[in-house]
Amino acid sequence: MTASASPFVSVVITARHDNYGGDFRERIATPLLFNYERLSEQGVPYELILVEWDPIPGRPLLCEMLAKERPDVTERILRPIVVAPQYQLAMTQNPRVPYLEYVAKNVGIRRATAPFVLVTNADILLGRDPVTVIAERRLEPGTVYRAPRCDIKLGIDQVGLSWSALEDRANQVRQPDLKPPLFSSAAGDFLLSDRDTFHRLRGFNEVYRAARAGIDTNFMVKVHGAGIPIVEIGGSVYHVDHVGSLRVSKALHRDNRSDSPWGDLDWHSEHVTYNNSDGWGLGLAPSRQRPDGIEFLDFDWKAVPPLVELRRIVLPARVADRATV
Amino acid sequence: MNKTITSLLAAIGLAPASQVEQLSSDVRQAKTKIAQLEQKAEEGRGEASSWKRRYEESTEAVAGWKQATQRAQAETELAKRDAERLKADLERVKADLAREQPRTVEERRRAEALKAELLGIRARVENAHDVTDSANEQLMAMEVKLDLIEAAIQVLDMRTRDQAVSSAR
Repeated sequence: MTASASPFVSVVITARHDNYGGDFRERIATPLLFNYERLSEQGVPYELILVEWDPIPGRPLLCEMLAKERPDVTERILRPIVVAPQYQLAMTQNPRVPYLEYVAKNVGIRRATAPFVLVTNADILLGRDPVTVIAERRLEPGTVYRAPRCDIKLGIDQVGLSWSALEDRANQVRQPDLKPPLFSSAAGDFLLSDRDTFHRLRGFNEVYRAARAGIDTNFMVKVHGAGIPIVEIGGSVYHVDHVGSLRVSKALHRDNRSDSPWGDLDWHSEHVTYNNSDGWGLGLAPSRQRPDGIEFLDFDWKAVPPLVELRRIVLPARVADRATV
Repeated sequence: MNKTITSLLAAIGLAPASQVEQLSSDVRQAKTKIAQLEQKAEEGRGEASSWKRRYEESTEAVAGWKQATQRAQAETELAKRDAERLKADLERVKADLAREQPRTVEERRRAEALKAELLGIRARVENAHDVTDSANEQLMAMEVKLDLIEAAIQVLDMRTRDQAVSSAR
């Protein structure tokens, strides 16, 4: 990355070259370029931390493909971090969950350098209002910002998608409301706060790794319990529906909700919380910078948290509901 | 001389011009007076009719007032009777009240006792609700911990099996 201005926001996403949710171009490259263009138009200096978790042997890395396809963009904003595949095997608590998405996001959050960190997903298109708020730097430290995720109809042509098209209700299949006090609907798609707040909370739950579903909600429980204001930033972010997404595939696991690739869909994510260890986000993993600019986290058992640490599962503090924006 | 001439003229049925003029003037004056008297008589008749009308109106008004007075007297009588009935009712109610008062005091005392009991029950229910909430929280935390233990056992079991199989080869 060779961006001239120091970044105001670190955008953290995680991905893996496994063709989850469709091919690479539709799912990763198009949203990445869309967001790059929108943020650049508004003059937002940012870094895009792409954490590649458990890369598949024999397949090119996504960051390599991106760099090949759009070097002009990746040179300016991309900060790739590749995590050694052994970590997935060493940390898993549920072999049916092949991707520890939120541990991967913690890797990016921990290494973010900008004063504000936006945790989102690779296939999220940022909406007009969130980009404007970021561009105008109307963000308060010690606050967690949320935006609802609006789903765009499956199979839409993503070439040349514009804000006007995304904002057109004819293209939308779901417009959720964020409900206080947790504002938790699809929280993993847009969570923005200052870096210090993320560090104070020690990222997403790494103690309960048996599920991938509900970890974002569980983070909101921790935020709420910690008394940190949760504020709706205004406007939406957009997600193009794809085969294999949790929303589209939930019905497939209706009869066996504990056996889905997202783990148990009904675990008590809204009723317990967690205390990650000091080494959260693979903080103790040895890191090396490759000549091609990729930061590689080598495997070391020291960086792996214990398989079970029951004392780190705790009850959330009760907080009297207060008015939030 | 004049007298003689006048007598001669009178003998043939004539009169001197001055006398004729005088008489004509007298006649005119008499006519005027008659007209004035007729006008006054007319005015007198008009006034008499006006007075008559006023008299009739006054008579009617007096009759109306008399009727109104009679009606008012009748209503007063009715009101008096109502007032007496109400007074009697009031006396009866007062007597009832005096008779019921001890029972009311007793009912009030019982209602207050029930209210106090109800508040006590509500406090106990709220307390039980809090305890249940707390127990539920603990239960859910225990379930999550049990899930983790089960998950860990499965992972360890799988690793052990893999190791056992590979070392057996």
